[in-house]
Amino acid sequence: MEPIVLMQHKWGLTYNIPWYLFLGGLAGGTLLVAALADLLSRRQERYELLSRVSTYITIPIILIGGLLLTFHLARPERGFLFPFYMRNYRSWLTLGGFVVGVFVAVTFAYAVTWYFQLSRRLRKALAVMSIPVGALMSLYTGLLLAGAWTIPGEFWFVPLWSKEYIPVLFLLSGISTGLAACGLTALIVDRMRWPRGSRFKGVGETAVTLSLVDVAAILLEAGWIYLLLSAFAAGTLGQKLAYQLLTSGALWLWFWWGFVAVGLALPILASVAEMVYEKTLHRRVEWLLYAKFTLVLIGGLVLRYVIVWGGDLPKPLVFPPSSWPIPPFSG
Amino acid sequence: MAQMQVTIPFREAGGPQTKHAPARMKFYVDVKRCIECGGCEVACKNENNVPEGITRIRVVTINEGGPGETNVAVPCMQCSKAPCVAVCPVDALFHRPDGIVQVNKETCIGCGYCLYACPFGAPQFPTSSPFGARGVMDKCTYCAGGPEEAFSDRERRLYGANRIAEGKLPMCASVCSTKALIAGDAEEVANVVRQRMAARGSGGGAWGWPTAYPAGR
Repeated sequence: MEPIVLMQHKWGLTYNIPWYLFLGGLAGGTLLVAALADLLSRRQERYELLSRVSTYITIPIILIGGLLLTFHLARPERGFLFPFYMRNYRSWLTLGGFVVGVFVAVTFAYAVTWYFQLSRRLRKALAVMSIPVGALMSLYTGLLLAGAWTIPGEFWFVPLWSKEYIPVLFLLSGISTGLAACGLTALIVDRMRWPRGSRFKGVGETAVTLSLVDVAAILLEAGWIYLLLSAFAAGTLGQKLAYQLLTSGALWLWFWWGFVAVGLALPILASVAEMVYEKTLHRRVEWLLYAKFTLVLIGGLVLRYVIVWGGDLPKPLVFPPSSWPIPPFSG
Repeated sequence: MAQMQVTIPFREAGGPQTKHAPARMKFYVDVKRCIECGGCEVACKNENNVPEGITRIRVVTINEGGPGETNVAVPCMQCSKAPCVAVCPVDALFHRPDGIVQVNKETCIGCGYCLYACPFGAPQFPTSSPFGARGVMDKCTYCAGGPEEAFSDRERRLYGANRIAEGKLPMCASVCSTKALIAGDAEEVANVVRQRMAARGSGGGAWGWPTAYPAGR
């Protein structure tokens, strides 16, 4: 039987939680890119530079995300000291605190090995460790939302935040935005005018590879969204209402134009255009790459906003469900 | 007055083996009787001095103005397997021995996870702002105060009235004009509901009702 969903939930009313979900997923993605670039570099200098740059940008991303998250609490000091206060290990909020803690520690350690040019073996070992840690960071942001249930029998009291689809969606989005952020950073730092020229000269050439891998990630993400929408359209009453809310209800503009168009379709078009230009004009068209990476990042942020706002179904569900048809959803 | 004990009602039905078993306090809302007068909302706010913007109990109307319009008053339903208790990261929410779910406002960090876990939207937060001013969680206390000394100023200020310790029932159920909202030990409440359903000759229309209560029984 469907529960009655009544009150507007509060995470969508301020910018903290959607931005934290975006930055958390992004940080997981950038650390993954750093680790994979390091491990698969085959000693090519530009990939080692990419790994170094990606590690460095992960730090401010996760620190800002963590600050946003902590200052969202009514008692932020207890958020900072969470191992002492959060003792309910069944709750994904508690587990998430530890995930973020481990992530920050691993990122710092990895960045230190790059910055001080420590032993290569240590760095590679940290790179291997970073892969599950980075993936878990992106995945956990979805598990946090899906974790708002604990009743045996698995009723999701927030119909949109389904355990089967949201975590993997956030993982794929985290990987895609991570690739985009690393690509954007690579292009920018390559161009920076230092007194003696850029320290990262040559890293911009990795942007094309990143863009190609990003296309694959975006296609996977698009496929997963399609699976999610099909499942919801044919799911429980709450899921059908959530589907309506996203696709034709109050969130349709944000979902179709803000996420699907800006975050999925336009970047793919931009990538295709860039590849065509490159083949025909025999030179890289950088502004297309810049545009594509920026669009992917915007799309990732809008996705988080849509999912968090979608957690608030403003109307009560019918009770009992068998007696009434689904009400027309007018937002 | 300084050392008053909290009274936990005991169940009398159920035979000698349950004579000293603590009661399980519950609400029941008879949707066939609720007329949306809002008396419960007003009584609760008045008795507990509820913070502004919070409605510890509220009446929800389904199919308003149409056939089958139904009103149901929704306080904190004191779930036996409360999802809010399960998801709270700092264990600020807990069950009392008599089944009442309470929040410890000293422990609560205002994360808002319980609001998403609750199917009834019972946990509420006084404000919404990015920098920690959203306040800690407030919810229906079953008029049982909080984890403070009963009848103290602190308890009254943080949680409201403690009618249970006085041996009374929650204010909302006490003032319900049609006795749609009934509260008390689960066994007693179930007996009342059973009598009402038998008198009506049919159930409330809930799923599975005809199987559980075939006509004539």
